[in-house]
Amino acid sequence: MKYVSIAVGGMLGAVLRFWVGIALYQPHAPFPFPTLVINLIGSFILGWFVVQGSQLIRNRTLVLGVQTGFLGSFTTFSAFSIELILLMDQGLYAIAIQYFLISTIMGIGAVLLGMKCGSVLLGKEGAEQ
Amino acid sequence: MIITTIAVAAGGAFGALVRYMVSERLNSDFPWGTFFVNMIGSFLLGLYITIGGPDVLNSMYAAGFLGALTTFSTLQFELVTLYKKDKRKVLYYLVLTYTLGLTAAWTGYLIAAKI
Repeated sequence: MKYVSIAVGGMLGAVLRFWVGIALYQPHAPFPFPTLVINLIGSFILGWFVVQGSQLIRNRTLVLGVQTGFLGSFTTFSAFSIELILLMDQGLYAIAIQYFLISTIMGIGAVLLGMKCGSVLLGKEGAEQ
Repeated sequence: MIITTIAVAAGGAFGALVRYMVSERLNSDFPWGTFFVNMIGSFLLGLYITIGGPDVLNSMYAAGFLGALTTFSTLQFELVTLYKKDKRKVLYYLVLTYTLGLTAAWTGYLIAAKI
């Protein structure tokens, strides 16, 4: 059952990434920001989900489907790597360095912010009960 | 568009499953599983991007399978959790992932350019 959950989550994550990628794509943008936006949003939601979302669902199979399946597939490392290589191949080193630093620093920041939001919301809910 | 979406979905389901199975076996106190799928995925995308192929196959394989096989969110989350446990390991994980990930994509890209 957990394999079905992960496969369905992975399917939805990949399709959503594909659609968001098309929606955000701008042919003349010097910066591959669809992948950046997707990766940062996915990292933020993962941080929140681990702290609060998984507590709300509680079903381990469904948690795996959302966390490993959906969020894991929605974000991508391979596109990030190849975009950096393509930027460097075009001689756009300054943009490549910016893209790298923004992705890596804000990626960690997004997870931390998501976790923080999760714990604040959890605490608030606890106080209301 | 419908066929392309189905192709991405099929590749995504398969990519997520392979990532989970590899991570289940290799992730221990160091996330070797995530590391491994990210390296392989970057290499294969580098290899594939210059060769290309029919659009539907492209969607299934590159956007669907390789996109889902590799993950950015889990990597960031593992960096955060590893930092709390072992600060030296987090440095290894960070440096290894980014240097070898880029090297893998670049190697694939160069090999494909030579073919």
